[in-house]
Amino acid sequence: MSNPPFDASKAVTFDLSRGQIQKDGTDPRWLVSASAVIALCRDAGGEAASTFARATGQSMGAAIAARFERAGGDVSAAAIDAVFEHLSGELAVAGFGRLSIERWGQALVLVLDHSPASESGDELVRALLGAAVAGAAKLDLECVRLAREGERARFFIAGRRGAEKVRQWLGSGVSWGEAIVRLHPAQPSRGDA
Amino acid sequence: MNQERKVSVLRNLLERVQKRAASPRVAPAPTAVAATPLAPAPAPAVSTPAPQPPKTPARPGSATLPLDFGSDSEAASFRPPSAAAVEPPRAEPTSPAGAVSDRDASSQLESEAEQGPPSAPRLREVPDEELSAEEREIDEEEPPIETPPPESGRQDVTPSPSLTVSESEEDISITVTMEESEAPPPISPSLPDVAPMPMSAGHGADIHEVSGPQPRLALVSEPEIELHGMTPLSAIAEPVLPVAPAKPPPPPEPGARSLPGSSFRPQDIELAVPVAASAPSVLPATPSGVRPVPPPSAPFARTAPSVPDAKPPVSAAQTAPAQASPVPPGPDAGAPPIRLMAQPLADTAATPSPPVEIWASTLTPAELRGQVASFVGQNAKFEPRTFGELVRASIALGEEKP
Repeated sequence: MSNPPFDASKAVTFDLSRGQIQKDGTDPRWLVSASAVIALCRDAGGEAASTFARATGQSMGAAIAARFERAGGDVSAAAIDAVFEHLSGELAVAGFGRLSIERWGQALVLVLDHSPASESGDELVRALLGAAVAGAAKLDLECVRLAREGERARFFIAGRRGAEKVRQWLGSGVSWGEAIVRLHPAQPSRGDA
Repeated sequence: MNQERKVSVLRNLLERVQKRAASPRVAPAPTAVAATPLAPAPAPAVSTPAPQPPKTPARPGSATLPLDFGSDSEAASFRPPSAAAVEPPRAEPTSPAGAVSDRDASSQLESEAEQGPPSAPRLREVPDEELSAEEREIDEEEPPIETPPPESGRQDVTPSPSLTVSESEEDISITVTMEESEAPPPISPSLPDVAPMPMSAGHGADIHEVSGPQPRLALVSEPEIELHGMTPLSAIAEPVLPVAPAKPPPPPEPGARSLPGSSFRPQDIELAVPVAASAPSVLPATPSGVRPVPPPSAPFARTAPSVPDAKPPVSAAQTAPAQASPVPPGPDAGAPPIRLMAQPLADTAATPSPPVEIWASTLTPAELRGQVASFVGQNAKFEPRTFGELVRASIALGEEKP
């Protein structure tokens, strides 16, 4: 199986004669202000914003999965770097920032830098990232925002129970690092542990 | 020169003058005297030396008398009466003044008169009355007058300062010796005061206070005081040990535990160095590195030796139960031990105290250590190859396993 490379050339087509913006030949897109979208999501409420974000993320994940399928492969079976390349490429083309990943033990942490969505838009980005990964891997998962440090925000890909625990620990003042550590089972084999 | 000799010389001169008077001739004009401004008139046939030589420095050649003789024979036969007084032994140091012959003296004067520098002071001639009076004065003052040595001027310079310096040095040395002798032994008297004091961050300042009031000797013995400061540390750390020694050593007194007079035995002091800076109950390290061992209920219940001992001393086993630590200080690890040997103060010069051995161990919060080790182990073992494997492992976190 060959992993399809991410090609950003001609990813977005501006059809000025028709006044449309297209991406990958799919449905038309809008070029709108990020702050306006965030304000709309904030005013629309959490549920509406989550719906909007999940829809956006699922389209990204579906596009990634389609590319791999076209290449005769599967996102779940593909290498981490290959899938990560497509994920970060999709988010960058859409203008959501620069994506990188961190692995803390078994935990997959997505790090998003320079995102137009600031503290107020983290909830939108959280739902979008979770939907994108779930759509690409075709798995049922959740995304939890761990912390934001300036322009860098960290999101944790977890299951339902894990997400609940992490939210609870974070709400009680536990640092995100310690919360991830607590998720990991103890190792009885270590003598000094 | 005695008076008779002078008289005889004068008589000889007088006789010659009378003989010449009997056969008159024209005397040559004086040249040397005329050249000098102090000579008001041509010199007579016989000129006597001025009374100045005893007062002027008696350097050969510098006080030459410009004598004007009628002829060379007179000059050769003439010998000034005060020549010996002017230069007693210096003109002829090898022979006494009285032994100088007239020819030698006259030749000397002639050479001096001829070879003297033109700028040398010229003496005017004085009348006979004045000359005789001055001669008498000179003769009277002759015995006590002693020509000072040419370098007499240095007497005012060099000898006095050297004498002063030597005296001052003697004073200084005497002062220091007295202070050293009067100063008490710097450490041994202060030990009973320092030993019962509790260990704190300002312990070093306490030590300096003990040795403070010696203004001048403190500078000299300051390093020594710091070295001896190790002994109060051991004495202070000793109350931490809750287990009394089972062997013969004298029963420890609560007030004075390491008196200099008591028998001092080797003590093991554990330097507790916390590793985790975020731990709430970790006490800051004291300057000396010695602090009390926390009770068993403290969060740092586990004591792990950072530098394990290959051969733990007996007293180390005594300190281990006090720490409530399941891990004894380190016989199981293979790292080479790092120990410090401190020589305590000797109470007396005859009975030197045995050295005190100290080493460091590490207190680590057990809970955090275990979690971190588990996390690192997981990270090392888990190496997903595919994106799906990573996502599934991340989703599985926090899920209860059946």
